[in-house]
Amino acid sequence: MKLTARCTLVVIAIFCMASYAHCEEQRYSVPIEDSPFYGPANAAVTIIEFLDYQ
Amino acid sequence: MLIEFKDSIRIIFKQYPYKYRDHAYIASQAALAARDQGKFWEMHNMLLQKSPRLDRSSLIQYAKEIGMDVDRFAKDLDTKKHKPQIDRDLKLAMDIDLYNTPTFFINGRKVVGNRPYEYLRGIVKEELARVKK
Amino acid sequence: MLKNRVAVVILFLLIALPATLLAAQLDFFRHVPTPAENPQTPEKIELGKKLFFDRRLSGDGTMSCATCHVPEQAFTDGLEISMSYPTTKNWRNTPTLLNVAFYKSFFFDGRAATLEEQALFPVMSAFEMNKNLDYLEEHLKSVPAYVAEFKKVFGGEITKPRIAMALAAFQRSLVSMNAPLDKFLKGDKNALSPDAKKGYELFTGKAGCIRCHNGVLLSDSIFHGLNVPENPSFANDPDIAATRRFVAKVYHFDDYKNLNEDPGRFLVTNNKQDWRAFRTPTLRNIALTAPYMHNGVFKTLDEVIDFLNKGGGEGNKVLKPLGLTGEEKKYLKTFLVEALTGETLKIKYPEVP
Repeated sequence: MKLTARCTLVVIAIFCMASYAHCEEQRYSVPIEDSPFYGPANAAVTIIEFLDYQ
Repeated sequence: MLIEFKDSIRIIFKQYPYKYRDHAYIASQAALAARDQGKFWEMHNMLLQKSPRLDRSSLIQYAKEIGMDVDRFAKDLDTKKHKPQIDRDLKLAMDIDLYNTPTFFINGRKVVGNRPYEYLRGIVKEELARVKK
Repeated sequence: MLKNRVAVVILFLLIALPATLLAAQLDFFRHVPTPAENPQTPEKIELGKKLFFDRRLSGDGTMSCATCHVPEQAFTDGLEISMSYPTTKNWRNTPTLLNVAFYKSFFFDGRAATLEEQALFPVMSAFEMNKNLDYLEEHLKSVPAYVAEFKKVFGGEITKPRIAMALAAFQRSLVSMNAPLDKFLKGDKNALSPDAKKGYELFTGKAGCIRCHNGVLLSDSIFHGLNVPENPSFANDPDIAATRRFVAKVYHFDDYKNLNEDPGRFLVTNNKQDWRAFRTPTLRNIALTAPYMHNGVFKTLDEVIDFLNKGGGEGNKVLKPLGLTGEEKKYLKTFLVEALTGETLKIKYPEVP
């Protein structure tokens, strides 16, 4: 249940030709750590949301 | 979104209580305190629904409504038990130069600001297609 | 006497008519208009770039110009309504900054006549960056690197006008040239695909887009009341309503308390015909700058073309139905998508001091 991914924070910039020509697509690697989550750990898509409740 | 993409999607929540909103921080604490009692999801939805009424006594009322151990909950809030975790999220946000909420990282693709569901759905679909390849 | 007058009128028509027709032309890039008072220098552009990415320009230190004008998104944020200062809401869409130097007025309502005048508005706006400008001046003076750079670029200390000049210089440098249309206009007849060429014919002919979307920018830089509908997504948003009332109040709009639509240019001129009029946007890079219109109400170019094809919004006196067939709309869209995207600007992020 608890997934601890202690990664050093690396911002990987993958420059690829995005479908909307102008975009140099950048992917960030954000450590998940022990933050609350919902959904299977092996899900194909992982969404990390930073949120403010107020 | 969780319903539509059920098994192929996982959402992780990081706290970014905005420094100049009076109840943002205690609301983040409430979410994490609820998690300790296995009630994160219930509290999370409650907070989104009740925002911006997120003062301490309202939060305690919400905890009661979703059947939490209220004494323990109040104690967690008052002792700021989850401060380290929230501050860690805040620091992480700063490190990746993130200042706006909500911000999403969908398989690492950064999406800033409140977006229409269709927009997020489009990106999730692109990512699913990409992963399948 | 009367005869004379008629003759003068006829003569005038003979000269003026072809002149106005000629004016409605598309053009390729020649020189970037630059005011004599604020010449471009590489150092000034670089300073402007640092300011553009500097979060000190917002009251709470969370936003820079680039928060909404994201370089990777053709200097927009891709949102219907711009991002806003935390806890507030904006009410209009973020325009692209690409080729902004060619406009003759700035903002959807044209409240600024120059980029220098424009630059500080979002910085001080309560629902954008919300930074007090006098404070900003002093704030930047506490950064030695800025003090030195302003001295080098302007020969003096940090002032509000100089901050604006540097920001304007950076924005003026954002020129995205060499779109297929430019090659086409220079004589390369193969620069457009056959479908895009048909779209071009419609654009300059039957559809009449060129009446307003002309010149190098494909915009006449003036204001037209097309009665674009209010964005239904935000119809009941109390924060956006607050922003609308606030702006109207600042512009001394009498009935600001009951205002429930965006008066557009009217707020600036108080001129009846400017009610809900907005500046013609550039069509360059239009494929990259969705959603469209001043309030982002249309998500796709198809929706925009349909809106214009049916003669614009209810009750407007500017447009008439264009009578385009489905096929013709398709060609028009092909032209917009294929012909107008200029070269990508590679923006190297500066080191903000």
